[in-house]
Amino acid sequence: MAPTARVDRLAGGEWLANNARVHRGTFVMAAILVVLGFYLIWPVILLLVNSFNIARDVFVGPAEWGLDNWRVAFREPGLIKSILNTFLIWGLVLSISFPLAILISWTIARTRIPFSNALEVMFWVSFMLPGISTTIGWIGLLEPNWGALNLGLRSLPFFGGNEGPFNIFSIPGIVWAHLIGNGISFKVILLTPAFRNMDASLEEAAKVSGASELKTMVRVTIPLMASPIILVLALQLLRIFQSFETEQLLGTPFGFFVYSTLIFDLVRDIPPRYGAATVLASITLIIVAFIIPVQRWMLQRRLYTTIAAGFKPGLVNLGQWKWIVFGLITVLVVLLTLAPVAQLILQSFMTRAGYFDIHPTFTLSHWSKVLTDSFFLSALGNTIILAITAAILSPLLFSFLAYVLVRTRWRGRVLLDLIIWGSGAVPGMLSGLGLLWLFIGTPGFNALYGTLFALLIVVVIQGNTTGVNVAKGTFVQIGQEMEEAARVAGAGWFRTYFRIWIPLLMPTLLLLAVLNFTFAANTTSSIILLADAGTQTLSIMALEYASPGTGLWEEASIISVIIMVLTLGPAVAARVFGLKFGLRHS
Amino acid sequence: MQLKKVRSTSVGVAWGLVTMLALLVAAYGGKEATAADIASEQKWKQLVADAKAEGQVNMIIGNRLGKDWEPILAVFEGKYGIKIRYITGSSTKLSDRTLAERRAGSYEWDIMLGSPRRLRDRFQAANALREVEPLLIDPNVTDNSLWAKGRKWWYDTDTKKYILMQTAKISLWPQSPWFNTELLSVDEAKRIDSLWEFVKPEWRGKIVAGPPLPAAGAGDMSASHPDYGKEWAMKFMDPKHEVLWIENVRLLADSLARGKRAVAINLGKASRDLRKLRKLGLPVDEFQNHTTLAKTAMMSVGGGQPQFGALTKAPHPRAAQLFLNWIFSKEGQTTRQTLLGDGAEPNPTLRVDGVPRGKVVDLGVPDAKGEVYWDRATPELAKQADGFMKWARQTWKQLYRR
Repeated sequence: MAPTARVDRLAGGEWLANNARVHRGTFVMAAILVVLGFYLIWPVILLLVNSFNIARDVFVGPAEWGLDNWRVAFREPGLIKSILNTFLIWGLVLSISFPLAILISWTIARTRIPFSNALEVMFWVSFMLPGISTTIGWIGLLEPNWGALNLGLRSLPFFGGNEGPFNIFSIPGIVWAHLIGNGISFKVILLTPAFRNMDASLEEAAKVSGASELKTMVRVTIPLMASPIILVLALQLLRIFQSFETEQLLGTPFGFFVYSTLIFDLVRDIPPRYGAATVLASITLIIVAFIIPVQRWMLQRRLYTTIAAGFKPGLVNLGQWKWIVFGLITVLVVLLTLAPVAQLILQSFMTRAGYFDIHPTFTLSHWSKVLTDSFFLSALGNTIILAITAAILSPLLFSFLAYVLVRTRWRGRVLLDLIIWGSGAVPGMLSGLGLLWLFIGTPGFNALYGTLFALLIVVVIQGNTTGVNVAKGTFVQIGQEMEEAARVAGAGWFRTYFRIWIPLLMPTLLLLAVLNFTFAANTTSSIILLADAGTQTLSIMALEYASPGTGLWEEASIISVIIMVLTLGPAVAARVFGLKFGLRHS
Repeated sequence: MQLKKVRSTSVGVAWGLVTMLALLVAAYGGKEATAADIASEQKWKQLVADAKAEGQVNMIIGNRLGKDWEPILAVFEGKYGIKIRYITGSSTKLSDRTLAERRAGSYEWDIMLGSPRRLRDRFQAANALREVEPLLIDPNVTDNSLWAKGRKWWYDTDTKKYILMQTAKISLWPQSPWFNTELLSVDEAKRIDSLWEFVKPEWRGKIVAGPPLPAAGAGDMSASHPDYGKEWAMKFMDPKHEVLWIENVRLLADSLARGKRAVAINLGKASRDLRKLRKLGLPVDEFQNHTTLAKTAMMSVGGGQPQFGALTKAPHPRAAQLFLNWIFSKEGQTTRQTLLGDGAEPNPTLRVDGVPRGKVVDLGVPDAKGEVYWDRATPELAKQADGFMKWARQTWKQLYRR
């Protein structure tokens, strides 16, 4: 279109139409910012405001205002060491898991590896396993004195002594637990759909130009994948100060602690020192301030479109290597899923997990105890309701927010981005308190307090930082011309959305559905203060069983197995459905 | 003889007067006792009627003990037809939640069963507790002679109004240390009669302990005990002593049972786990089963078991009152000691009117008779213990989180 003609048209009716659209956009964005901003940021503000409340107990008596919490918090013993330890673990886990996850995702999504769908599902299964339960299982194997694997190895001629050869209570042990937990699987399930959205013609062009498979991957595929890769990195960075349970369980026996340990110590004091804990947690906001501009800069400096009108799906042939690669990934999958699942099931039937030398070694009493628990049935029902609601509503909400952020030019997008990232910066042990204050003290919300609706709101929105950004990554990959073509062909926004966007987004929507189903089924800290006697969930039951002061690991294993079975069905169904209706490579 | 007769007559008259007086007093007193009885009975009937009309008690059960208390609550429900609705979980979380609700003007709960320290430091501090004494009207509860040392025991030692104790933890050893019977023979264990033994160099690297942090219920490192104090704690916490610190109760118990260390100290809730392991035939035992301290044994009032607090602005005040009268009665305490679930370990009641032992572990000490070796339930010692716990926590962090 010639510039003059464009000016003419803008001067006419389209100017009015555009203007109306801008106003409509401004209105929609304002509504999003007010509603979502209030829900996500108000609890953070309440926490920050209360960090200046220096009363002995923030729940008792009149507030006293001062800077003491800010002065005292950073004088906690071991602050510097805890930060160094945190970066050490984070760095080690990331440097191993990240390249591995990229390779695995690429292999599953972009090559003709046998049983690729089954392998992908197994990574989902690994992600669904509660981290604390798998860590407990690994203690049973790798405890230096009595771990089953260590005992087995020591019975061999070339191992001797009373300890080892493995020691789960060590820095490598903690790193191992993180990797096997969801350090690898989380990245794989986020990156695989992105790799699947790659246009094979781009890789073919590289090969036609003489590039090898490896060079094509390094020079073409990975740079095009910068958007999801940055996202995964950013999400990891955001959670750097939130990793806690593994270090608490495995680190204390050898004097190892991380930053979140200090926050936890403050929260469990009598009375809890939430003010000082918030001060320590607020350091994550600095990370958010770093993440957002970097992510925006990276996304704006070049085009990451991989699905355009001429999208050509296709898979790379690995030749004879495919069986070797398949074998390696299978070994990893066994370590990530079958081993911990087998351990969970086994220990749920043991009189005492890890003790094969007592009589009776096996029992059904733990199952009987859990299944006859007066809270069990209602907790099961609540968990199913929460998980299904989150699986349906969260992907729709998050994809809409991502669309607003990527596809519109509405003002306020940076603020929305900030709100979404900022809400993910608060560690679970504090966000629960913020939500409690929100639901108790806010007119309208307080009517929901104590009901399942409050929990529903929490679980639908809680995975927003991951969900919105994953959906954003997909929108960035999808070319503008497909939507434009549909609109030119006369399709309205809704028709375009359902005929164009939904099929293109299907793998991502299903990924978000499964992610949020899993988040909802396993969530604890965000809802623990909101759940009433009638609104308990399985995850809260598991938390109570496995807490450091209770130590009922067998019962916790049973709940983990039940949650896993609950989650596995929908995950497999979603995977099959996604393959049927989403983008397919052949 | 005359004299004898006179004397005899005088004695007879005197006896007659005394007898008449006694009869008068008995008749007058008896009449008053009957009136009191009737009044008391009327009060009781009114309470039961009011409570039944309310029909429900809402209870917070901390320390994750809800399931263990269910059979006890069921007895009360069955007897009075009053439903008990409860929520259970971490005492900290439940306290946060309840106090936040109350600040927002919502009063859903009648009674809290939880850590007495939380009840005192948080609920009493928030003026959220009702005075208990006026709520008790059952003579079987109000009669002080039925309680250890002829008095009631209060955790709020300053005010003596809000947290009436039902149990005491009695131990011949501070911290109730355990040992691995394969690493330390019973004969060797019998020779140890003081915790000072464990700070000697020969015990370096042989002890596992819970750090003085609140999560696992690990206590005060015994230093508030008159025989030990900070000097002992400093020696014990010295990193050169190579104590293995484990916070998780399960791992702590396993470390002893699997022979990773010979002795376990400052166990908190891990001692409950160790009792289970002993039942399963693992080589662990308590020192106090074989030896007593040379000096002072300990009765820790309030430790180890949750206690009751009645909340102000309760939605079912009369039903809550009836429950408290019941649980502090001989019947209530008998039910508690007999039916408490296996997840908890009942400490002996402070009643001394022959409550059957039930599941209470026999420590070989005259607990039921109310003998007190060292009573921490005085304002001075309570303050000292609190101050010490803070010191121990901070010192431990300084030493092990550098």
